[in-house]
Amino acid sequence: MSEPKKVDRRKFIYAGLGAVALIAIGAAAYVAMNPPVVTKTTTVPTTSVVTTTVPTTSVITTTSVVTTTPSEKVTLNVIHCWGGDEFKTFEPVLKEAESRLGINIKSMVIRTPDLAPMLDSLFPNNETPGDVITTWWPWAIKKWAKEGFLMDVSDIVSKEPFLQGVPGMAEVEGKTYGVPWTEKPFPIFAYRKSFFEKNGLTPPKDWNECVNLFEKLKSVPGVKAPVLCGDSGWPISLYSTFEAAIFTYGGYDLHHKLITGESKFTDSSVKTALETYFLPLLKYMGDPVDWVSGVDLWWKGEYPIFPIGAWIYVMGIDPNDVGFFFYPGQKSTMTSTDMWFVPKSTKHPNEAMALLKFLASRDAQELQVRQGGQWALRTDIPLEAYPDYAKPLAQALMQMKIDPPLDASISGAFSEKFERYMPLLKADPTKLDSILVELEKTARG
Amino acid sequence: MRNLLSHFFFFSFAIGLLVPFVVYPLYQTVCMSFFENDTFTIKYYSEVMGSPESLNAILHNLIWIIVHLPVSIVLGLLFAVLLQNRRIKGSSIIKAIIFIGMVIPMVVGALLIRFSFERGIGIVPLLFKSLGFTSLDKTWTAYPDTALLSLIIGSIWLWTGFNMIVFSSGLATIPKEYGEAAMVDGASSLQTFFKIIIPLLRPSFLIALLTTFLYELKIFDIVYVATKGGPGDASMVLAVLVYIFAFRDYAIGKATVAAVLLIAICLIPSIEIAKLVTKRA
Repeated sequence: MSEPKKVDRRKFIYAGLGAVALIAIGAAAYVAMNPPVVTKTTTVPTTSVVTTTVPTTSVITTTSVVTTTPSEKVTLNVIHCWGGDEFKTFEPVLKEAESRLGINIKSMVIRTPDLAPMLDSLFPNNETPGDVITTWWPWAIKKWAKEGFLMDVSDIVSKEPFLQGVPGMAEVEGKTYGVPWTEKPFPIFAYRKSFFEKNGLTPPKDWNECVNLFEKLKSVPGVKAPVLCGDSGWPISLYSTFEAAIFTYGGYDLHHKLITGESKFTDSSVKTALETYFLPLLKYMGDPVDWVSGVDLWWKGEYPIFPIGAWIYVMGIDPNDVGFFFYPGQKSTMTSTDMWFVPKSTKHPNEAMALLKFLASRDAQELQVRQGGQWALRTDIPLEAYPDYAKPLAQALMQMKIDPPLDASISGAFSEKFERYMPLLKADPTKLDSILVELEKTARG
Repeated sequence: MRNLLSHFFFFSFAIGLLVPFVVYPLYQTVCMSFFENDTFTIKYYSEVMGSPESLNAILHNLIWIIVHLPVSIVLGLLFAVLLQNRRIKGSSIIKAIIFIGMVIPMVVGALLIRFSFERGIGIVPLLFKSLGFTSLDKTWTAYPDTALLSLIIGSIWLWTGFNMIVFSSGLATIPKEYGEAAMVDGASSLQTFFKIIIPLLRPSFLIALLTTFLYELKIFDIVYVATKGGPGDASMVLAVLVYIFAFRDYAIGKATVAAVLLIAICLIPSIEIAKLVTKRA
């Protein structure tokens, strides 16, 4: 009689474990791909918006305050784009907001180009990494507003005296979705006052003087090139002087019409502007260098003139030694216009809107301007509010018309191509015509 | 039966992970490249295939393969053979130095490449200047005629360490007796190397070839950090183009087409090389 066949238990264990693993992984994948819709009953913290009169040293201002009991203190996530020294100038505003609104603020730095793709994927899922967010791309605010992801802030903006045309940068079908914060004009041709004094140089008053200045700088010992070309994948010196040339030759109108599409990049006026003011400048620019390390080279006098944004003042240098000039004859300029917005997916809409209201207020904007490195977009900020070094630029801006940069106004595709093609133009100016054709195609495509 | 069950058990993990995380997204990518608002279209394909930008990117990937593949493999082999010689003092330290290129993150490597080729800071323009080639004393990544070349040269430095390690491990498996026997039979060192060592290193060659080839096709980080594909399109490659389409232009349709092309280009030769590897194994 044969022995009964031994049952191998291991095969059952293998099979069981395999099946469990498959089911578990499949279920996890299914849940990951189809997140369940959870109906939550949430208790919205009771908040009350109180209008109080807050005395300040110079003015009496009306400010909205959200009052909450300590146990209900809400934490808002604020996403901004200022790191390092720049953030130090913004921090006092956040602290003031916390104390006035009775909220906690957790701030994060995410630069707009990194932020935009993140928000593009989160907004459709009704998610957001921040309750109050800033960007320097007004076109992105318009895009998200059109898609229905942002809160309407028309009520806040319409009551405040912002520079004409600025709130319109974030307007969709008559409603405003972005609160203007501050501006940083660019390019300014920054130089060290002490360097100019030591070498007997003065800022130019017309184009001939400008060229003469560049020529003189070429012969100053230790100078590698008269003008620094700040790059690092973001060719700030190139594209900003490209636009400054358009402002200088064709004024605000030509620049603005390029944004709206009423003028074309292939128009003769654009080409003439660039041939007159941009291509000659390229001859005096050195090879592109990383723009942040460029600050040091500029400060050491290797490249005495740096076409850059006004944020240079707060990049760890002595701001009182910084002088600036615009292109001679330039009556309008572009500014990096930071705008705040609130996504509809915020979990704290009341607090977020209250913070937005505070940021739009004169108190907040004056406080920011006092820290330096930023210039007001409100018309009621007095010159005295600025630190001494910032006053000349503030005064100059009062005489100038401002327009947002082309790359921040047209589209993401244009912005990318614009940044990629400027270094090509620097390397080979004979490609001007083909680059203008390409820019036009991308801008209207 | 037992074998079948154990196969099923081990496969289940791989399949359970592959299906939702590789096969399904791949399927979705292919679908998205053919549909616009639920309507079948080949519009995205004609847009991408018809644009000089994409053709340029494919061409640059090809140039990358033509230059980078043979140079990094030959250099890797050369270093492996030279440093295998125990008479060379500090060979393991030299190996470690060469391998540093593989250890550092590619993003850091890309920054190093950028600075190495930057005028006034980098060693490469300085070297050419000291040799009298003043036209090459410039920021290589800023000029269309040198941007791609600088990235490829930098990438060779980063990748050679990997090939060196593959060949070193291959060499370690070859018994010394084979070479000694050949020598006894009167073969010269070169003959031993080409007739004995190289054929025995074939599996290592195939592995080095496959991984280097895929690395070159998928190259992204070095290009994006150092030049972003510029100036103009001078150093654009397919993977960077996918990113630009998706996250700068917000043209997801075009991005999926470029991604499908990239996958197809990677897949066909990879399958062939993988077949060779498994055949040898």
